[in-house]
Amino acid sequence: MKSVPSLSSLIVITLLSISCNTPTRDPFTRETTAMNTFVSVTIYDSDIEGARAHAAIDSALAEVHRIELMASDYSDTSEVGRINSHAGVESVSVSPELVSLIEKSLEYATKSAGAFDVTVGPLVKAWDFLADHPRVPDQKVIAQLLTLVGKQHVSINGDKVFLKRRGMRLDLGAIAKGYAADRSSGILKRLALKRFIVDIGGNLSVFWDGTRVLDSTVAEILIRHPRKDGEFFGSFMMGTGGVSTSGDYQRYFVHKGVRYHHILNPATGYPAQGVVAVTIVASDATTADALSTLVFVLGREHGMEFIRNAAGVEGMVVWESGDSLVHDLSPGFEKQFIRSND
Amino acid sequence: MDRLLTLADKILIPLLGGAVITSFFAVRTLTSEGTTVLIQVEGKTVHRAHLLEPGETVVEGVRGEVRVETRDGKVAITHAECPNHICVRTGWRSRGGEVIVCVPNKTVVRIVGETRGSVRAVTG
Amino acid sequence: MKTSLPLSPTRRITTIALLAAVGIALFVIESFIPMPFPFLKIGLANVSTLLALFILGPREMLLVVLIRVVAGSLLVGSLFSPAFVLAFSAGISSAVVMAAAKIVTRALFSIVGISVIGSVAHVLTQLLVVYLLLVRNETVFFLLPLLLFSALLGGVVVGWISSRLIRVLKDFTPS
Repeated sequence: MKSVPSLSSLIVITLLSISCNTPTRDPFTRETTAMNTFVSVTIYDSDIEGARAHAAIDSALAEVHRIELMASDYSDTSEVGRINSHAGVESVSVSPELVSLIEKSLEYATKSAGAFDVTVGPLVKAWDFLADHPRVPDQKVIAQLLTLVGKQHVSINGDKVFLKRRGMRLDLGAIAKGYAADRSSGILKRLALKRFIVDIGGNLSVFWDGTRVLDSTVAEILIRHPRKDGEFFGSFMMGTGGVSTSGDYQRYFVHKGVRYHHILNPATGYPAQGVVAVTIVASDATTADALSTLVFVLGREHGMEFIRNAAGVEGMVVWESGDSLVHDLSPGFEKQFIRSND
Repeated sequence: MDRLLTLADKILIPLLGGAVITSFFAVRTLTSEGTTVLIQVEGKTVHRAHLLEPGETVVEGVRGEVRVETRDGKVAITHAECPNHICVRTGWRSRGGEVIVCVPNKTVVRIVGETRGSVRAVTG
Repeated sequence: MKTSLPLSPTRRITTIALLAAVGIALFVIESFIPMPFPFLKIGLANVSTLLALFILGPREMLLVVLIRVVAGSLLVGSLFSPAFVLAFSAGISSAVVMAAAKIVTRALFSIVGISVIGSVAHVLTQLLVVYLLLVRNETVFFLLPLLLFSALLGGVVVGWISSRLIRVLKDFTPS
């Protein structure tokens, strides 16, 4: 048969190809602190030398620090700090980037009917979760501070931001870390890196060339257990995208047997009730960060509804039922999430 | 019959041979080294294991038990409740992208991941 | 290449039955042959399918395949199981494709060519059915290179056996 020689060469080529392997190397990683939390950048590219990787990480971390300076509200000289210190007095000119971020936050406020609100600054300050001995603020104080909360009291004109009432404060804590993760991720992308993870306090920006959010099986993401320190609630796998988790265990204190956590309901001034943790997976970390807080405040039902209606967003809501933790998953997440044995 | 193969045959067979090679390399570019093992039943991931960590897992397939073992950087279905045991006979697999399939149990064992060791992060 | 012989109705039926029986026998025999990979099948039973196509005709061939798949599954004990659905759909589709190829292209492909077309169709149908049965787990297509390779090899071998057999049978069959 004339075709036999070509067939046998086919076999040989196939067998030869099976034995070839592409070499890989260990990833480059650096850990530090910023934005009041743990930050790490890991690069998985296999064809990169140490010098280039570390230079890239330097740039990425510089970007995180820059965002911290822009968006933090604990300094009067940061851009947000200046807006806050001129509340009720006059408008402040800030960078287009910050205007954009604030506008995005206000959009989320509209979409969530106020569940997500960056004007909760005064309330956050009153609760002071980072203090040595946090206390429950006086009810009258909370009622008064509630009058300073609401996007209707914010006015944006070009590059000028004005908080209309004295005492108002912008707090971008619920979106800034995700935003910083996205920005530093962008830097690494522009430096032609193809595979990396930026982690800012559990807000992750994962980038893996050519992959999509939950379809792919690149990185294993472990979700901390809300009640058991050091253990994990479950895990899932993802490709390029953003992840964020908001939980009632991240910043809280217990007073007279009641847990008071840092995710405040802008409508009541008190910690949002009914949810223990929310994990959001989206196409970018900014969205994931904002939505994890947003969904937490919306509560189990409306929160899951929001997730299901949002395009490109998957997530999980965890709540307490008696002594145990129960969770609800969006369909895309359902296929990937594995719950650890409690 | 004069000749065994016609002209059309001599075009068709090498063409298909080319298709074999192309699909082989296509599959190869979609996969490379992998150390994470996903066990999926009816499309849903029910367990995750690692090639580098020896152990045995039993999952519930549609028809019954499917036993998956990882050892020496390889994975195999060691036992399954199915009529033909094609899955068991597939043997040990270790390359990224490889799959072991048990059709009656609708169970798939996949090797995924693209780096040595694993890509992992924590949220929460 | 004239291969369809005019036969009396009785001759037709007995030839169909004979070929179906041969197909079943080959199917059962092949199930006992151990293979390095479980899906590396030669598809010996298709020898009878091809003989039916080239000696009798497309309609008879479909009948032979139908009988062979059902009876073969009964014997091996896989009737109404997922394996049966696979074998049935793949077998029928490959037979239909072979018949269509023969009718449309007439003498363009030899028996080896038709055999290869059939085995490739068989394997592709299998992958598609498994994909749908396994609830859209697209990783099953990673098996394509190996399956395609075995289909090509098996198709050529079966086609070659069939062509040798047809030569012998032509000598013995009166017109």
